[in-house]
Amino acid sequence: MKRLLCLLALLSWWLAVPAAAQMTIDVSGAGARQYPIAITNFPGEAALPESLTQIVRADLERSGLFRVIDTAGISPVPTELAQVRFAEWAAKSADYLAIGVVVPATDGRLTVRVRLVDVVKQAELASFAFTMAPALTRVTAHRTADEIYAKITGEKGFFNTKIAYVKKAGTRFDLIVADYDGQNEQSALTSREPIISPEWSPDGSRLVYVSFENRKPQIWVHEIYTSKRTLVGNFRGSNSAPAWSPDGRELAVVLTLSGASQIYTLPATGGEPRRLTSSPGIDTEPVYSPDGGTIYFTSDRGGGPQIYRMPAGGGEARRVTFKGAYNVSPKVSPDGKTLAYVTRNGGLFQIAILDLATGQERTLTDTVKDESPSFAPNGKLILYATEIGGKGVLAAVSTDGRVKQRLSVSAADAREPAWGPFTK
Amino acid sequence: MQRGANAPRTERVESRAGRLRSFALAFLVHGLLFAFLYLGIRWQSRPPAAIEAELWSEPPRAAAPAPEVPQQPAPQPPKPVIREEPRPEPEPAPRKPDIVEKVEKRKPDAQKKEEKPRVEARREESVRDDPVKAAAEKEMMLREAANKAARELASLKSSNAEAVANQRRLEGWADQVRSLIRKDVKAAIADAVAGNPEAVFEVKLLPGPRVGAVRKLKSSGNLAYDEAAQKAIEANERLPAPPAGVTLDPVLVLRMRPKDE
Repeated sequence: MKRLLCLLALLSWWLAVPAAAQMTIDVSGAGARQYPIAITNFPGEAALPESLTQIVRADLERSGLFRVIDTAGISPVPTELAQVRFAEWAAKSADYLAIGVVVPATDGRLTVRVRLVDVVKQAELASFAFTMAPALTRVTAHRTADEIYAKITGEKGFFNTKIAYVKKAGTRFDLIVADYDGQNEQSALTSREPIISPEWSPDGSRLVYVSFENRKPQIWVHEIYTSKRTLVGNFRGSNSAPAWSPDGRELAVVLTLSGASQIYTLPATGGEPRRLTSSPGIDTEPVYSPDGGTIYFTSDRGGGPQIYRMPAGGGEARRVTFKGAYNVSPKVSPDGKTLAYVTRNGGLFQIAILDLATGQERTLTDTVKDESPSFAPNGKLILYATEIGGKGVLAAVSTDGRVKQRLSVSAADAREPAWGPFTK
Repeated sequence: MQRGANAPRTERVESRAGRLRSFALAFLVHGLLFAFLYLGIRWQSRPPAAIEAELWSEPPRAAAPAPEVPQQPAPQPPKPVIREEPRPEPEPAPRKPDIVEKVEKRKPDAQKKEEKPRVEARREESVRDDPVKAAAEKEMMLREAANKAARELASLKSSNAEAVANQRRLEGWADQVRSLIRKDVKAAIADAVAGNPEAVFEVKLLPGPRVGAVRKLKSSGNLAYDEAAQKAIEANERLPAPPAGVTLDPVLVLRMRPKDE
C-alpha cells in the first residue's frame, strides 16, 4: 500500500500540465436570410414596350439576396403610401413593398414614380422617379432595381452593368457585349478564328482581347462606342492574357519573346514592352490589384501551377495559394480583399475564393469544368463559364457561396465572360 | 603431451600465453567485426546537401510557451546512477571469501559517512543487509514524495486561477468563432426546424488554429440541420488566432441551435 501511494505520488507530475480549459462554444441562429420583397404592378406600365416591374423582380431575384413575394390577391393595387394596408402585406410575409405608377410626361416620354415601403416599420423607405423614353425601359427598370437594392442592402447595385463574352456557333466566333442579364446582345467582333480573354477597361469604354484572326495570337484594344480597333500586341511568338492597369493606361501581357511565357507591361495604346518576370518556367494570367500596386499571376515555377503576387513594377514574387496542386486564373475583387481563382479538386475544376487577409480558402462551386471567374463590380457575385451538356454556359455564384445561378444567354456556346465596371 | 614436474609450469606459461593470445585474437576478430559493421553502414555517407527553403511569407510568430512542467522526473535518474557506481567498486577487489567481504564493507561504512552519495549508496548496500534500516529508508522516501505532492497541489491551485483568466480572454475569441460559423448556416434549413433542438459537434483543432476533423457527438433530431451545421463548421477552415498568451485546447466543442434564443 505504501509503495502504491509512493508510486502514485511520484507519478502526480502529469497533473501539472497547462490548464487550458476545454472550450465549449454555443452557436445559435443562422446566416443572413433573403429579404422578402413584394413588387406590385405599376398602373400605366402597359404603355411601355416591356413590363418594367417584371424586369425589376427578375433583377432582385437574380441577385440572390431577395425573395420576391407574389402580389396576387391584393386589390386594388396601392400606388400611394396612404393606400397601403400593411396587415395584408405582413400576412404575405413581405418585409418590403415597392409600389409605383407610370404616367405620361412631355415629348412622348413617360415618368416612372416608385415608392419603397418598409412593411414592418410601416413607413416609407425611399421614393424616386425617372423620366424616360419608352426605348429605355430596360435601363430604367435596372436603375429602379439598383435603388431598391442599395436602399435595403446598403451595397451598390450592379443591374445596369454590361458583360462581354465569346459566343461560338460552328466555326464562327463572336465577341458579344450584352446587359449583365444576357439581354441586348451586340456583336463587337465576328471572326472565323478564336477570340479569347476579353477584359473591360476600368472606365468601361474599351475592351482588350486576344484574336487569332491573323492566324496568330494578337492583342487588340477595341473602343466599344466607336468600334475603333488598335493592334497593340503583335510581337514575335505568342501575345496573350492582357490585363488593364487600374488607371487604364497600361496593359500587363504575356509574351514569349524570351522563349517561354513571361509577363510584360505595355502602354495601352501600343509601344515597347517592359519585362516584369524572369523565371525559368511559365508566368501568365497577370491581373492588377485595384490599387495598382500588386500583380497576381499564375506561375509554375514551384513545379505546378500556383498563384503568386509581385510588386506591379516587377520584383520578388511570393506564393499566394497553397491548397491543392493546381490553382490558376486569379482575379481580384474590386475592394482588393478577395482573390477568385480556378482550383482543381480531385479532377474537378471549380471556382474558389481566397481571403487575402486571413488566408481562408473556400470552394464556391460544385460543378465540373469551371473557368474564367470575373467579379461583379460590387464584388458580390462572380461570373464564370462552365460546361453543361457539352455546351459552354455562363453562371454566377455569390461570394458567400449562398447563391448559384445560370445566366440565360442565347443557345450557342458561351465562354470567356468578363463583367464590366459600373457605368457612370 | 608430456606431464611431469615441469608440466604444470609449462602448462601454466603456455596456458597464460595461450590465454592471452586467444583473448587477443578474440579481441582482434571482434574489432574487425565492428569495423566492418561501422564502415559497411557509413561507407556511402555524403556530406548533407545544403537545403534551400524559399520563404513564402514571414515565419509565424512563436506561440507563447506553455507553462513549464515542474521537473519532477529529474531527481529520480541520478539515484540509480549513483547507486550503480559504487557497486562495481567493491566487486572486482575482493576475490576473498564472503565473510572477509562483509568485514571490508563495514569498515568503509564507518569511515566515509560524510560523503553523501556514498552514504546513500552505502545505505542501499546496508539496506540489503539490515531490515531496520530498510524501514527507515522507506519512511524517508514517502516523506519526500508527500512533500512533492504538496508542492504540486500549490502549483495547481495557482494555475487554476490562471485558467479562469484564460477563459475570460477566450470569450472574445469565442464570439469571433461564433459569428464566423453562424453566418454559414443556411437560413432556409434552420428556419424549417421545429423547436430549437441542440446538435453537438467535436472539432479537432490543428495548429493555426485550423479546423481538423469534425465529429457529431449529438444529433439535434433534424438531420438536415445537422448537415447544415456541420457544413457551416467545415466551411471555415481557418479560425481567428487566439489572444496572445492563451493556449487552445486541441478539442473544441460546438453546441449548435437553429434559432436565436
